[in-house]
Amino acid sequence: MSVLAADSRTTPFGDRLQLGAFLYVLLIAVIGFLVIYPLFTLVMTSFQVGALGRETTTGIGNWYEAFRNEQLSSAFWSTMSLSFARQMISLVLGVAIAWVIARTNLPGRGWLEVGFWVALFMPALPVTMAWILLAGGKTGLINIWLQDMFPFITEPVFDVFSWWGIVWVHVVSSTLPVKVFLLAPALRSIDSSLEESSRACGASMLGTLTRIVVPIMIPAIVMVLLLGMIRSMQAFEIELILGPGERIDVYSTLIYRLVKQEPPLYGVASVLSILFVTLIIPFVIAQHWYGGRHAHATLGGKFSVRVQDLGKWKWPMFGILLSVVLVITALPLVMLVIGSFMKIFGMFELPNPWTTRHWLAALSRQDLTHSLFNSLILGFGSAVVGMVLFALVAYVTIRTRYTARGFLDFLTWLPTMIPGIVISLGFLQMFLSTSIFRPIYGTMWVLIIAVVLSNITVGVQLIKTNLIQLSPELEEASWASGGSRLFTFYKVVLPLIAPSVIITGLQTFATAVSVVGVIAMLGTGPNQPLSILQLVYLDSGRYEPATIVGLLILVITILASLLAKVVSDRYGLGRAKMT
Amino acid sequence: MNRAPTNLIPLNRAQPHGAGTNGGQAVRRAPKERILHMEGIQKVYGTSVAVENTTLELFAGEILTLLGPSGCGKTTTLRLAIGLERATKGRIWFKDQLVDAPEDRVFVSPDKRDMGMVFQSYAIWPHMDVFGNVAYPLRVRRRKADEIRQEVEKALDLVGLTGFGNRPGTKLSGGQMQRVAVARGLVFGPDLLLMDEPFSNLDAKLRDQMRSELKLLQRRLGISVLFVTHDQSEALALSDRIAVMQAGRIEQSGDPKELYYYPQTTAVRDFLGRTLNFKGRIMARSHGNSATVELTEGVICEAAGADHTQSSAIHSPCVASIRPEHVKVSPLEGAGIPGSGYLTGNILTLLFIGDRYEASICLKSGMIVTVFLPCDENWAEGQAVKLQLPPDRIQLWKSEAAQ
Repeated sequence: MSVLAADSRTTPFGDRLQLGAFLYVLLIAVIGFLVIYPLFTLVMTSFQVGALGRETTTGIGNWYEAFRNEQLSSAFWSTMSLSFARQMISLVLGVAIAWVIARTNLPGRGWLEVGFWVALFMPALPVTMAWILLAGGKTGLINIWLQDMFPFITEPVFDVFSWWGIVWVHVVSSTLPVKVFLLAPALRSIDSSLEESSRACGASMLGTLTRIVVPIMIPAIVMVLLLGMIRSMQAFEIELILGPGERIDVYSTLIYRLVKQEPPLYGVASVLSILFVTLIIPFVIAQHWYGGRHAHATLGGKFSVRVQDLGKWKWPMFGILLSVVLVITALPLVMLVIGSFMKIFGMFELPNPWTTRHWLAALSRQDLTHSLFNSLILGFGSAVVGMVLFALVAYVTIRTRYTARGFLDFLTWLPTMIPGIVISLGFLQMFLSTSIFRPIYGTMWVLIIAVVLSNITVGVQLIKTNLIQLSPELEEASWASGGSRLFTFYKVVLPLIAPSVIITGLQTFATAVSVVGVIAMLGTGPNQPLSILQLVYLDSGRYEPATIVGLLILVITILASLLAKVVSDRYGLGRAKMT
Repeated sequence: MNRAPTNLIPLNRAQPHGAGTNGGQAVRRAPKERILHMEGIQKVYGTSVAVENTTLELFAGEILTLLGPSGCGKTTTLRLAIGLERATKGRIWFKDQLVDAPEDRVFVSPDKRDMGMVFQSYAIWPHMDVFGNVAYPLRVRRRKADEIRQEVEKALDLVGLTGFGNRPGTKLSGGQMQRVAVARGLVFGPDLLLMDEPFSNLDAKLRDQMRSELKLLQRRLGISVLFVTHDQSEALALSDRIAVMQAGRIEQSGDPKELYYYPQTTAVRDFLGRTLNFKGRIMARSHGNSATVELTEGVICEAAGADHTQSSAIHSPCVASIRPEHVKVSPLEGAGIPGSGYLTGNILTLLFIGDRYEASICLKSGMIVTVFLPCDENWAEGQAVKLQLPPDRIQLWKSEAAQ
């Protein structure tokens, strides 16, 4: 070996370290800026008295105004009571359903779980519309049928435009599927001999579930509940559509209305946003504290899981679960198809209620095709940016030894506690108040950044779970074999975490197509995607075109969810468990 | 760098000997090429010191084993050698090239070091088949496709996996993964192979087989191996030289027999094999190496021939150590004669382990010792026996070193 060659192999101690550190600092700076700066502008705006664009003064007028507002306390109670009610209902049902799916010999349990997976991906607005058709007061299909069958019923029985209506639509569209999705894997990691010994001691199946399984699952259940509360309190679009019936406002809708009214009250909305975040923080802290203490509880061991025999309950149970799955997935889809062919949305009593007029009109409309195009760009853009960024962040937090990587971890958790509508407002303030950002305001980039940021917690977590299961020796073996860091990342790490990266991408895509809250105040110009178009139609009472838009969104997200399921079944577990 | 032609290397080569601690006889041998040289190495993580002031040399064609309990720094030393860790002090040379020297701001990353490595978990990439795994180091080095196929086949033949190329990485048994990992480590013809507890995940029988195969392979290729294990019998069986590590330092290094028979520290003595330790007092010392010791058991015995540098002056308390397999046990006829140079006791339990008995014997003083009994006698629990301690097998230590 020549001396020259030997010299070129010897890299100085510092250079490489500095390059890595530079990338790392850049990552923290960009994410930190995008997460923290909007919050900062919110605080600034909250102290600016006077309408935006005109001369403003600094003062606490907005704070005074916000607390004087009677809507504030009613919004507080609505937010809390609605969240709590649907969490409790979903939890009880979710534990039972997850247990039946994960630990019994229920026929077709694999397919039923796919149903809940699909429901998880289904966006809230189209599902809400379907339930308006079914139970929207006097014109609700169910009410009409009930009145036809039982002449003594004169008033509509179900009204979705109500407190319970909001709870119901939330339960079927997201809270229940989330519970099943999170609890079923946790239940699978319980040693079945624990159940069997309970049965051997003479306990019934139900007794075993309540005395053995649920107590063992307490840590997982508490975690799922806290996470659910955080998410529920941030809910936005269902309340916006169904709330006005009984004049129900939650924090998120209140903020939206303050900004959308003429003239917009940015200052008061900012105050509310800050209060909103502080309301959620205790739950986030509780979740972290509890999660840290009980981290071991959800870890699986090495044992075979034997299923419990449901006996004579097998088929009745199958019937019940199949109905649930159909109600949360197929029913909304079918109702939307029906609704899109109706002359007037929900008017089943017309002599001839059917028409193709709306489809013809929608397909010839510029704004629909334009929004579809925007949605696809937003979906693919967010997916690509998200996959790269989330993989990078996950890799840095798991595999490097930079001392401050805990801070990066914290930054990726921060967006969980900030409601989408607050992120939206924060971004709006940032773009309006900081001139250097104004050029990208109104472009797709704004929406892509907002979507990626709102998805960062889930995305990074998903890839981290995958990465953590890979032995570091797999990479070290590549370095030892002569592969450089970059080559190793490309040839060894990326193929092994590919399943979770692809799932993350599909999930981000589905979110981007259906998301409302995060971009509600950002995507109203030429960059308006389908989801906002639907919201605008709905908010202005034009249900017929909204149905068609909702149907499009629904089909796209269901396809994405099925694709994600295929990927995770094919590669997800089998590979991740290796070494 | 091509692999050394196999026919040039005699199967029974002279044992290379380190220039380290006990290199008295090394004069006879021709100086060996030094492959790896670590000098004054220190590795600190935060406040904990993993490796401290460690110096070792590895010569061409030898197997050097780092032996020690878990957490003693042996794996860290290995990872320092290939560059998966950076030393905080000291210098490392690989074949006369300085590869790690924090004071000189020199660091060669692992992918530029051209060392083969076999990991404890084998680290077989699950998304590649056997061929892909073994071909990887060659692909990284941009060899031609033809050459890669040839070399991989040769490497697979070498480890006894002919025809396994298309098998997915996940469809292998532990032993097969082990072989793939070795093939991957050898395929590009490195001069040094690093092995991190490679046999710890195999079952006992397979482990014995892989040990002898590895030694045979190493002799054929003439490659140098730096081996890490916590298994003393593995180290004794496999190594040309052993370095026993304890708390981040090398306690003693030398060839296996030297370490086994003449441990310099109690840590080495207790880690390599079992010892029986009797307390006593030195009565007399004669010239040479022999001494007369009165054990607290009431027995006077001679210690001769062994290294007694660790023992203290006349009349001071001491510890007499002996390997259990060196204790001669025979049935006791009559009452025995006190002070006659042997210990007496009764067999407490008798475990038949195939080729011999493992017996715990309760001595007169109440001390219980475990020794081995031959199978060709009829032993019985409760039987009275006498234990003779051959003088040349006894090593004397200072008494505070008893534990």
